[in-house]
Amino acid sequence: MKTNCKISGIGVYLPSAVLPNEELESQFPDFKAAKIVKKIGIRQRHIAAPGETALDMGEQAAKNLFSTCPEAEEADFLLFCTQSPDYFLPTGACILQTRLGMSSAMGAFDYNLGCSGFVYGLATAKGLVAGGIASSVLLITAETYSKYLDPGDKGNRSIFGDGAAAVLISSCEEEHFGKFVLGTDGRGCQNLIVRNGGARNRTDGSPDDKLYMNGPEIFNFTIEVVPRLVSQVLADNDMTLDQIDHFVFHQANKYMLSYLGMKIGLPEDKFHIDMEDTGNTVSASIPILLEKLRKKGALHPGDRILMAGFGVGYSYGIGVVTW
Amino acid sequence: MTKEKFIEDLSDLLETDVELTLTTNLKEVEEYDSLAIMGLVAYADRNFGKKIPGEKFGEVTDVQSLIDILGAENFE
Repeated sequence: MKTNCKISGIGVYLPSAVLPNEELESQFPDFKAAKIVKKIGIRQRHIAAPGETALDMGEQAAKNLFSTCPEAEEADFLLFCTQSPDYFLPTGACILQTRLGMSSAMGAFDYNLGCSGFVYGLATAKGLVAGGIASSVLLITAETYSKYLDPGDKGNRSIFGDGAAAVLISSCEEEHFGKFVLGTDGRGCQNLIVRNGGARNRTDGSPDDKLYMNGPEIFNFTIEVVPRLVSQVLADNDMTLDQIDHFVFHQANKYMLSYLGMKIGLPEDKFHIDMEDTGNTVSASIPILLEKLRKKGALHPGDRILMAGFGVGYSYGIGVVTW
Repeated sequence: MTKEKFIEDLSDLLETDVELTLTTNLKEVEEYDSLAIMGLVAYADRNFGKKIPGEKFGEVTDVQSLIDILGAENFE
């Protein structure tokens, strides 16, 4: 049994409706479209339709993957990452197994992570394959934060977009996945939270029903953690910064990423920032960007990609993957 | 850092036409918004290696109060 991993395909799905800056500008007189593009690097975001959920979007992303990578239908494990599940129970991954017509002889579970979710998914898939538990893993990350946003919250509405991605991780002869560094700091749990609606607090019509983000604190956290993580993952993989061909970070917002890039000393031509048309799509942002790069022909076999996800939890993960 | 230099940097960061002084009430400056605060988080890290808790920015009144939050010891 082959116990090494590689990424064999990516499928992306974005809802058809878009929210352009101009629309936010018409709703909020003090919203300046030009300033938003310049500072946070977002022109528009896709927004799920009222009856469309992360699970629906994840299904579409997987179907898009199947059309270019038919072997993904034969995956024997399904990981579904979302913070917008259809139900408290059952598990979305079980519903996806049937909707996608996949074998019942597969393992499947959901996990609840945000911006770190894709990197955690890769690390988990690596463990499943290395442990001989799965031979290929369908990793689906899908998010609809729009459903948690207050219509009057122009800040978060300008940042977050909905999106989904499905990635096939296959076993192979030669290892393409380097070492991962994962981390957790629950002290930051109050800084990005939907307080009501779960078992602790029922919804009550108050602002706590909606998503709250303490932007400056999240920024402080990333400034503190991400540069250290980059050094650590490079050391763990016996690599130096100049051996990395692409830096693909969670697309939080352009300002934050530009500052992190400058602080770490990342070369601009290798540090990809592209969320103009999609916004911050949480756990889907890294694979969506990978697919954009792949389509542009920027990814070549053998390229080393350093991926980093960080945010809600706090939770963070970083790893080096060879394309 | 001199306070004059900081006021100059702050003016650039806010991209405001308002003539800033130590007593300018930032709450009345339209450009002092969440994006500006993000810029100040980076500014504090870059220039003073200092982490300012997010909620502190809500306590800002005039430019002098912002200097106090950034740490009066960092200014001449």
